[in-house]
Amino acid sequence: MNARSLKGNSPGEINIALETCMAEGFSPTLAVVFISVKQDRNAVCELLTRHGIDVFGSTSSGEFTDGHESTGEIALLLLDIRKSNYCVLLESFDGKTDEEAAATLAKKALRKFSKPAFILCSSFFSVDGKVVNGEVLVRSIESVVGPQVNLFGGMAGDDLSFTGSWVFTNDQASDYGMVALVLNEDKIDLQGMAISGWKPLGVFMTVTKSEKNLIYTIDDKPALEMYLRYLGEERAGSDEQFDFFKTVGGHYPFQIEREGRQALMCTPIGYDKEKEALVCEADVPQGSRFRFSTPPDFDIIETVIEKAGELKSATQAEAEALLIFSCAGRLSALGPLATQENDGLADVWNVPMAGFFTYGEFGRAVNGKHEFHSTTCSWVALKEK
Amino acid sequence: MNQQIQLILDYFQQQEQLSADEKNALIKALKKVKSDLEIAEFKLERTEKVKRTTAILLDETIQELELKRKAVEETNAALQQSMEELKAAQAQLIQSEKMASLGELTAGIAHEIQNPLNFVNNFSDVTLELIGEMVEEVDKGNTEEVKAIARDVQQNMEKILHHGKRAGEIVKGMLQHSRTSSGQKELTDINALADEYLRLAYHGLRAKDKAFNATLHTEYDENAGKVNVIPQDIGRVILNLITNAFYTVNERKRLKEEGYEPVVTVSTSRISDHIEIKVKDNGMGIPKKVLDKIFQPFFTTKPTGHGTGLGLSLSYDIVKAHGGELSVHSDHGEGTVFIVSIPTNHQ
Ligand SMILES: Nc1ncnc2c1ncn2[C@@H]1O[C@H](COP(=O)(O)OP(=O)(O)OP(=O)(O)O)[C@@H](O)[C@H]1O
Ligand SMILES: [Mg+2]
Repeated sequence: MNARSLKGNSPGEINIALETCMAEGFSPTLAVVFISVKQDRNAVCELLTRHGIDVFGSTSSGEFTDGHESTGEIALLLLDIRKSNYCVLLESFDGKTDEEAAATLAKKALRKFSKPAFILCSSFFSVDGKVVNGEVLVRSIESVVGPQVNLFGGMAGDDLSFTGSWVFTNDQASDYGMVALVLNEDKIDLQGMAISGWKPLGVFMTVTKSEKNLIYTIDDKPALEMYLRYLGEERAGSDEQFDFFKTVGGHYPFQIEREGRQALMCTPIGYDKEKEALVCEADVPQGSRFRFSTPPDFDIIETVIEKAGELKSATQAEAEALLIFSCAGRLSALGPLATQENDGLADVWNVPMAGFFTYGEFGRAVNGKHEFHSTTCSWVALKEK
Repeated sequence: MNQQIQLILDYFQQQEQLSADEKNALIKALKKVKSDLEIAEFKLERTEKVKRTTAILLDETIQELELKRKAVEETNAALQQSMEELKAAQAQLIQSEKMASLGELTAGIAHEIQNPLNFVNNFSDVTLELIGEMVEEVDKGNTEEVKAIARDVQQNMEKILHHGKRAGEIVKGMLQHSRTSSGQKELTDINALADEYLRLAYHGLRAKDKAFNATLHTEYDENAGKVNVIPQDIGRVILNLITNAFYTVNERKRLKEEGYEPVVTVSTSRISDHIEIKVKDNGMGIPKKVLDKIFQPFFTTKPTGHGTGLGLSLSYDIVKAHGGELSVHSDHGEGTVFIVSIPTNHQ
């Protein structure tokens, strides 16, 4: 399999780049598209369709390829993967539970391949405010396909506007759905992992009142006031200009206790001043116990890159393409280092790469199984056997 | 800072005497400087920010912990208080249990006192008559008769005194029993002690329940001898064991099994440096599940009002305090034997 990464700031730029590389004799079958909500994704889909290329697409909160990073633009990974080794499925959550939708998707994948692997992008926040539960998606797919399933991906972004994110294929799109690139694992090798680096700090606290993804009280005290006070931003709650996610939320997610498993990272993405509530990226059940956490040290990027190198030499694996799903919080908390991290990973595998900054990641925990994460850099290297 | 770098970049671009390769190399180096600088700036800014936030977060955490510590302290104090109240309540209960068993004893004691009292009354009656006769003989001047009657009176008075004293002893024992436990160790005849409390228990139960009856066996070892114990306390142990034994044989008797004869056996034996007191019954026996718990304070299987569950727990403590052991063997459905084993050399 050959791969090429493309970037552009408009469908026109993408068209030129695409035609250039096709002129060089490259004929891709599949395009992985990470695109800003500001861009005309229909135009991009149309032009790819015109060239007979299948689309697996997700909106982004910043997108990148090997050697280039942008916000508000378009990044593509083109693959000439054999058509018989993959399919793209889109499943809407409308009218069913997250669990049912994921199970339906997984069953369709099983009908296609006896050993399917998933590159999964799901919407995060629908235009009318419905939140998708990533944890449920993982568990549901796992229950259909088996615990050994390979599952990587991320939740679609919207340039941190939290107004709705989208997933799409050539002719379908949804702000409340998920799109899966289903790979035949007998023919495609996948290697990857997800690493966070955020460290717990302070004592355990309890969510004493919550409703879906709104936290009202923590240890019986108003949640918003408490969160801001703990982070020294007391006045911020009354400041209209306050950029919550970039200033605090993205840096200081909660680590929610999970029985027998790694803590679940949960990032507060905003607040509701009237209700004095914190708006979180995922539903937080009442009674959850959590700790604050602080951003990783700068050497986390070395750790991420080292671990990738270790996995590469341990498995003797090769790759032909690399996808990275990096948490949007990483961009706020690690800034230019997040870019270094992505480029470093591309260097380890030395293959074309594309990725985007996500609202939650799917991927294999180090020494663990597939989980839904937040704050991680989740990457997957692909090779057609 | 970035503006300056841009300036230098522009300058290099315009330099005509530089070759394209040289220009590229310089521009590349400068771009690297620019990105390193950006990263350094970012790191500095973030370090400052994280430092500040972490300090506040820790500060808040410490305050929170301080509050929690105070709360825990208060709860501790409250807990301590209720622990003390509980202990006081338990002590009271134990004391009232002693008084209750005193009640059980009263019936037995009354029975014991009745005998000497009968003697005292009868002899007093006889003596009164004798003195009447004596006065008559004095009037008649029958000195010999007077002397003879006086000797009878003297003998009677000795008997009255003897039985009076015995009643006194019994009352004293009863008073001792009700004392909290300031009892002193004294050399005690174990067989006599066992027998005394066996009778007290038996008559106590009979007084409460006229229908109650059981065959009593005693097998006292002649060599049992005297042992240094607090008699009221060991007596109390024997009483508890026998009361339990009577209770269980009575229970079994109510089942009206063909040919069932309730038997309670009290035996003593001296084994080298130990004395053993066994209380055996052919009652219901104790199921394995229950056996583990019978020595726990307040454990009882008896209906409310019939047992406080303190008997065995107190007995266990008493035997321990004498340096001994209280053990039990039971076959469910066959009966039970409790063995009190006390070292003879315990100080
Ligand atoms: N000889 C025995 N046979 C069968 N069960 C017995 C015997 N002795 C004790 N038990 C069991 O052990 C339990 C605890 O005995 P214990 O003497 O401590 O309390 P109690 O007799 O229930 O109440 P209390 O003695 O305080 O009036 C009894 O309720 C009974 O279940
Ligand atoms: Mg008892």
